[in-house]
Amino acid sequence: MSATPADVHGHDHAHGEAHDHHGPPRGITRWMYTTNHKDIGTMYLWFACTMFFVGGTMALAIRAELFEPGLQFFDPQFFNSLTTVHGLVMIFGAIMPAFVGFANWLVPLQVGAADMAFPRLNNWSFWLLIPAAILLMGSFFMPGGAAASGWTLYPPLVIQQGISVDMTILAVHLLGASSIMGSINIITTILNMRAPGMTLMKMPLFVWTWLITAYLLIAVMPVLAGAVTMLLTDRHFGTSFFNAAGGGDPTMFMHIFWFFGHPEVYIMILPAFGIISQILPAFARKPLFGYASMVYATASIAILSFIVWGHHMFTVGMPAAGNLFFMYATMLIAVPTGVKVFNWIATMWRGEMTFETPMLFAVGFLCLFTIGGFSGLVLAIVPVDITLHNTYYVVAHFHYVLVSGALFAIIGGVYFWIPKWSGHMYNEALGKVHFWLSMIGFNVLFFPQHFLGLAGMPRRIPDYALQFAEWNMWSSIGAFIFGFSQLIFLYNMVTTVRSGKPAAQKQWEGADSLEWTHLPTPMPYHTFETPPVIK
Amino acid sequence: MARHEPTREQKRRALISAIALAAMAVGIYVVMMFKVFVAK
Repeated sequence: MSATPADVHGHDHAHGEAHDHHGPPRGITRWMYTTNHKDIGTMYLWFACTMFFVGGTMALAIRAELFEPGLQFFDPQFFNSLTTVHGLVMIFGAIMPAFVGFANWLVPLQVGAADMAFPRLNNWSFWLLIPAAILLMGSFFMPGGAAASGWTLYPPLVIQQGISVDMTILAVHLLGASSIMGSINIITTILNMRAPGMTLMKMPLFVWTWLITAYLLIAVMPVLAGAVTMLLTDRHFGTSFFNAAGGGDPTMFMHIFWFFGHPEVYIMILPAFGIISQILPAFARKPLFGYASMVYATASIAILSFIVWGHHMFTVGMPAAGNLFFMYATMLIAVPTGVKVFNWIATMWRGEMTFETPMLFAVGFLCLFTIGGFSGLVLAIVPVDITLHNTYYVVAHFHYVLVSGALFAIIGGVYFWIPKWSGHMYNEALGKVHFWLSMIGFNVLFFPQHFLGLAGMPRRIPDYALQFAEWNMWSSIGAFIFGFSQLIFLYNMVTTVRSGKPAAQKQWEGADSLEWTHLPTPMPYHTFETPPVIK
Repeated sequence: MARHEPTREQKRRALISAIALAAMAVGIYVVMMFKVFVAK
C-alpha cells in the first residue's frame, strides 16, 4: 500500500497540536461528553485495564483458596461467586472493551477517516459500560452474594438464586447493547468512511478482523439477550422456558447460550489475530505473508463459529450424529487457523527480525495460542471430551486461548501503539522484564492444569482431593508471579504517558499502516481532516 | 482550519448501513423471542 505523501508533512503535521484550534476541552466534561474516537478509545482501554485488575484480584483469591487442600479463606458459595464474576468481568469487562478500545483508536486512523461514523453513539456505547460494571460488582453486596452459577448462567441454579442474578442479567443486557452499538459504528465506519483509494483489500488486517468481529457481535449478542430475557421471565413472570419443574428444558438454554458462546470465543480472538498481524510484519520488516488468505481465513473462522456450539455440551446426551457433526465441524476450524499460523511464521521467515517488547508478546502469543488451539482439538474429540468435560483440562485450554491469546495480543498491541498514542516511548527494559515474568508465570500457572484435568480434578470447586495438591500449589505460585508482574505493565504505561521519552514519528521502521506513515507523533486531537489519498 | 466532515453521500450511506444493522440485531432478538413464546 502506498499513499500520497501530502499528509506526512501536510496540514495534520504542520499544524500539529500547537496550532490545533480543535483541541480537547479541559476537565471531566472532556471525558463525559467527548465524541472524539481517540478519547473514547482511551476510556475503553482504561476501563478494560481497571476491570482486568478487578478480575485478576478475583483470580488470585481463587488461586489462594486452591493453594492447598481444605477450605482456607472462603465458603464454597462465595468461591462459586468468585469464579462466576471473574469470568464475566474478564470476558465482558476486560477483553472485549480492550479490543473496542483498539478499534476506536485505530479503525478511523487505518482507513483514513476523521472519526467514527456516529461519534455520539460511540460515547453512549462506552458510558453504558459503567452502570453494567457497577451492577455486576454491586451484586456481591446483595443478600446471597453474587451470581454463583458460572459465567454461563445455567438454569436451574440461576433461577433459584437471589436478586444478584437479576443484576447480572441487567448488566449483560447493558453490555450487549453497548457491544451492538459499538459494532454498528465500526461496520458503518469501515464500509462508508474509508479514504479515497482505500479499497477493502488494502485495509490493514486489524481493520478486517474487526469488520468480521463486528458482524459476529451483531449476530450473536441478540441471542444472548434473548436467553437472559427468558431467564428473567422464568424467575419473575411465571414462564418455564428452562425450568424443568414447570415443563421447561434447561438443555434448551445450553443450546441457545452456546450458539452465542462459541462465536463469542472468536469475538475475543479475531481482533487479537488482527493485532498480531500488524506487529509481526513490523518487526520482521517484511509485508504480511498471504494477506488475502488471512482475510479469507478470518471470514472462514467466523462462519464456522456458528456451527460448532454443540462441542460445549457433548455430555448432555445429543444423538451420536449430532456429536459427530459438531466434532468434525470443530476440527474443520483448525484449517483456517492453521493457515493463519503458517502465514505468521512465513512472515517471520528470513525477516530482519528484532525482538522489542511488542514482538516478544507477539511471538509468545504465537507459541502459546497454538498450544491452546491444539488442546482445543483434543477436546473436540467426543470420547475424550466426555472424559475431560468440566475438568481443569478445559480450564487450561481456554486460558491458553484467552490469556496467552487475547490478553498477550492486547498487551503487545498497547506496547506497539503507545508511542504513537501518547507521543512517549515506554521503558524497553521494564517491558522485557514484564514479558518474561508473564511468560514464566503464565506457564507455571496454567500448564499444570492440563495434568490436573487429565488426573480428573473437576473445575469450580473450592477444595480437592490430596492427590491434586502438588500441581495446584505450582499453579497458585504461577498465578501470583503472573498477577503481580502485571503491575510492572501498569507502572510502565503510567510513567510512559506521564513522563516517557519522546517517541519518533515512526517508532517501528517496519510499520506501514496510515497512522505510522501519515501522522505525526504525538497525534493531533483531530486527524485526517483532509482524507489521505491511497494509491 | 475547518474540521473535515463526511460528505452528504457518506452520511446517507452510513445511516442506511446503521439502520440495516440495527434492524438485523433487533430482528434476531424479536424472532427468537417470538418463536420461543409461540412454541410455548
